[in-house]
Amino acid sequence: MLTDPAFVRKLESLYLLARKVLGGTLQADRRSTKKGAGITFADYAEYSFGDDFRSIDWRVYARFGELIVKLFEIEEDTTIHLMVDQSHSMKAKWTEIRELAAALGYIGLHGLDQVCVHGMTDRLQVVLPKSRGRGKTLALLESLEQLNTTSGASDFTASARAFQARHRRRGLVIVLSDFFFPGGFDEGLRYLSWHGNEVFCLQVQALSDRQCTWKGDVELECIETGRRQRVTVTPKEARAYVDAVEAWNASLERYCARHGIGLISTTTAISFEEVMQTILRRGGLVA
Amino acid sequence: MSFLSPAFLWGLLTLIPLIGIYFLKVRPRRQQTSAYFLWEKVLEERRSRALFRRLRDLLSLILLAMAFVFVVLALADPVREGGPHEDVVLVIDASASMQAGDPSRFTRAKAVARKRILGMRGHQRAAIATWANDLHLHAHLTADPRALLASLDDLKPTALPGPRGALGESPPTRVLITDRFHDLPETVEQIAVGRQEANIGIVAADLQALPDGELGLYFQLVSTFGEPVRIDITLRHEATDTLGKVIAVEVLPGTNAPEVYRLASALRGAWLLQVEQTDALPLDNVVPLVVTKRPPIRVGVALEEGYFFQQAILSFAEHSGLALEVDDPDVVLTLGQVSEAERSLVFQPDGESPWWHGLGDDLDNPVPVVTTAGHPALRYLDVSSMRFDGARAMTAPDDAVVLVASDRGVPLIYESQRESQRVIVVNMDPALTESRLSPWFPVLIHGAATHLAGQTASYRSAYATGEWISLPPSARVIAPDGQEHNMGGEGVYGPLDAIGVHTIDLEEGVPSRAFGVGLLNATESLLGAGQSESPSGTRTAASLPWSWWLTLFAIGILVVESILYHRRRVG
Repeated sequence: MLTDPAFVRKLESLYLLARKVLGGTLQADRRSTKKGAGITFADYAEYSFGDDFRSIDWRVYARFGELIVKLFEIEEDTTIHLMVDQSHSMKAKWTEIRELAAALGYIGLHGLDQVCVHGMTDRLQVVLPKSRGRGKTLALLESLEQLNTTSGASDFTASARAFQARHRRRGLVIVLSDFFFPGGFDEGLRYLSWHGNEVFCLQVQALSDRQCTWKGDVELECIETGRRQRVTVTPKEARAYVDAVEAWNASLERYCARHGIGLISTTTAISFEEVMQTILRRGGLVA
Repeated sequence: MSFLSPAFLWGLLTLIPLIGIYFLKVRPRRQQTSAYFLWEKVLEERRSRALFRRLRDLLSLILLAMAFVFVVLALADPVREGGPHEDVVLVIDASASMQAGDPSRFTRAKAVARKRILGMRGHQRAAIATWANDLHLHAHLTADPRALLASLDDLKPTALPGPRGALGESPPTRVLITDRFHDLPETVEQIAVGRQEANIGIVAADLQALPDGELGLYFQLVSTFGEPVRIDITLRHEATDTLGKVIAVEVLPGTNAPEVYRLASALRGAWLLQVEQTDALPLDNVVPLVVTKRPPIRVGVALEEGYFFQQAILSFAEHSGLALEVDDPDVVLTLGQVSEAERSLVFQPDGESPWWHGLGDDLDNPVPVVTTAGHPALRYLDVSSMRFDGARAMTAPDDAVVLVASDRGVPLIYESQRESQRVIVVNMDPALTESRLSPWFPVLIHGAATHLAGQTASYRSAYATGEWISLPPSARVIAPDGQEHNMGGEGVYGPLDAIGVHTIDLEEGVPSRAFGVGLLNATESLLGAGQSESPSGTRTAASLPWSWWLTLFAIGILVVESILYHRRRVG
C-alpha cells in the first residue's frame, strides 16, 4: 500500500536524505545544469559582451587585469515527468516500480517541483496531472496505488512520441521500466530528449528476467502479446538467453552513456531503500 | 511361430489409448516471459534443431509403441514351431573334479542347465539328476520351470570320483553336463564345461607303523601344471597338532613316481598329509591317514603239556597281535573239552559235550573241503594241504557254521555259539599228526584266535572316496561330520563320500578303529578341458526363450525413450 503510513514515513526519511544530498533550501531545490544567476558558485568564465557586471570578480581583475565572471547555478522549478511502464511485462516488478515512482514523486513535490505521472503501454496516459506542493502527496500516492498493468504490447517509441508532442516545455523525464521493448528503446529516448529534457532511466528487472531456470520442453508465452512457442531449453539455450539479456542491458547502458542519459539498473532482489539511496547518492537525477 | 498364450495379443488394442495418453503427456509446461523477443532471437539462431525436436517427439512415440508391442508379445510367449518337444533328463556330473575352478565347473554346469530349463519353458518336460558314483534323480519329469530351478539350486557337488555305470538309453533322452567326455551312446548329448586347470593332487597315500616303531609314509602325486613345480608337503598329527614332516618335492607335469619316506615319530592316530600349494581343486590336496595300534589278543593255553601251542602263539607275538596270557585271556586253547571261557578254540573234541554230538571212530585220511569260503578264520590257511589225523566221526550242533568238512561231510573245523559263548572246534589230534610241526598250525591258531576276539577286520590307513569297505554287521560308522551309520546286518559300507577320518565302533569291549578317506583319484585330479559331444542334435532349446529377449528389447527401448524423455524434461 503506497498510502500506508509506514511507507509514507519511509518517504519522509528519504526526503530528508534527499535534502542532505542535494543541499538546497530554497524553492525549486533541484539544481540545474544551466549556469546563470543563482547563489551557488559553479565556475569561472571570461567576460563577454552582455554579461552581468555584478558577476565580474573584481579581485581577479585587480590582480591579473582580466575580466573574469563568476558563474552560478540557476535554481529553478521544473516539471518532473514520471513515465511508468504499465505493460503486463511489469507484473513481476509492479510493486517495486510503483514504490520507486512514489518516492521520486514525493521528493519532487516536497522540493516544490511540478510532478506529472504518465502510464505507458502502446500509448501514453496521464495518471497524475501536473501537480505542485506537498499537499498533492496523497493524490500522487493514491493515483499510483490505483495504477495497474494493462494488456497489450508496450510501444515505448509511440509513448515517447506522444509525450514529445504534448510537452514542449523542458523538464526532467524519469522512465521507470524494465526496458524490454521489442521495438527498441533508442528512438523513444531520442524523442524524450527532444525539447532539451533531462532524461533519466530507472531500469527495474526481476531476477527471472535475467536468468533462465527452466529445463527441458517448455511452451514459452509472451506475457504481453500471448504469443507462444515450444522450445527445448538446454543449458546452451539458457546460456544464450542470459547472454542476450546481458547484451540488451549493455546496449541500453551504452546508449545512455553516449547521450548523457542517467541510468540506474536494478532488480527486485535489491531493496527499495537501497535503490533510492543509490539514486540520490549518485545524483543521477540532477547530474 | 506360434504363441503359448495368444490371449495376451488382445493387449495390443491398448496401444490406441496409449498414443492418446502420450500426446497428453508430451505437452510441455507453459512459461510466461517478459523478454519473449529475446527468446525469439535466441531460438532463431538455433532453428536447425527444431526439425529434430519435432522428429524426436515422434520417435519417442514410436519407441514407446514398440516397447509396448514387445511386452505384449513376450506375455503371449512366442515359440518356434517344430522346436524340441521330447522329454529330457538333465544330468549334471557331480563328481569331485566339478568342484575345480572359480567359479566351479559345477556352478557353470548349473548355469548351463538353468539356461536350458528357461529355454524349454512350457513346452518340454525335463527331469534333473546328478551323476557321480551313481545316477541320482533330484526332480521328476515336469514342465514347471520353477520346480526344476528350485531343484537345480539345491544340487551340490560330491567328493566322489567320476561317473560309473551307464546312463541308460531308453527315453527320456539324457543331456549330460560334465567336465570330460564320456564314452556314452550317441543318443546322449554331452555338454562340456570347464577348461584346463592347474592342479596338483595326491592320488595315492599310506602311512603304516614299521616293525622298528617308526612310521613309513608313501604317497604319489599328479600335476596338470605346465612345468615342474616345487612344493612342500606336510604331515601333521591331528590330535597333538604336531608337524611330523615337511617334504620339499618337485612335482613334474603328469603322474609322478611314488615317494617313500620314514618318520621318526611313533604317534598313532590320525595324520593329515597336505599339499601346500594353491591350485584349482583343494579337495585332492589333503588326505587323512590313520595309523592304528591294536592291543594284542591275549590267548591262554589250558593244557598241562601245551608247549607247542604256546610256541604257536609266541610265533605271532611280536608283530601280529597275539600274546600269551594266563590270568585273563581273551581266547582259551583247550584239548578235548570246551573251557568255561567265552571264547575257546578246542582241538580233538572228546567225551560228551553240547558243542558236538555222536563222536565216533577215527576217520581214515579225511580229505578237507572248505565249506565256507572266505571265512576270516581261514583267511591265511591253505586247507587243502593240511592233515586232519585223529579226526573222528561226529556231528556239529545245528546252529554251527562248518568251515571245513571231510569229503564225507564230517565237520573238521566249525564255529558254534551258545548265548555269549563262542567256540571254534578243530576236529583233529595235534599229537597224532605232524600238524603241529606244520607252518599252518600256528596260522590256524592265529586266524581262529583273531576271529574269536573279533579283530579280524584290518583297515587301510586311507581309502579313496567312492570305495566300499567290509564291516562286521554289528559295527557302527561315525562319519567326519558326526553322522552315525549302523550297519544293521549289512556287510559293506559305502560309497565313502566324506573326506576325513571315519571311526568304526565294533563290538562292545573291542576298541574303536578308524580310517581316513581322501579323493585319491588321478582321473579327478588331472583336470583337463571338457569336450562337447552332441552327435544327434540339441535335445533342448540352447538359448533363452523369445519372450525373455522380447522383454529385454522392451527394456532397452524404454531406456532409450526415457533418455529422450529426460531430454524433454531437463533439456
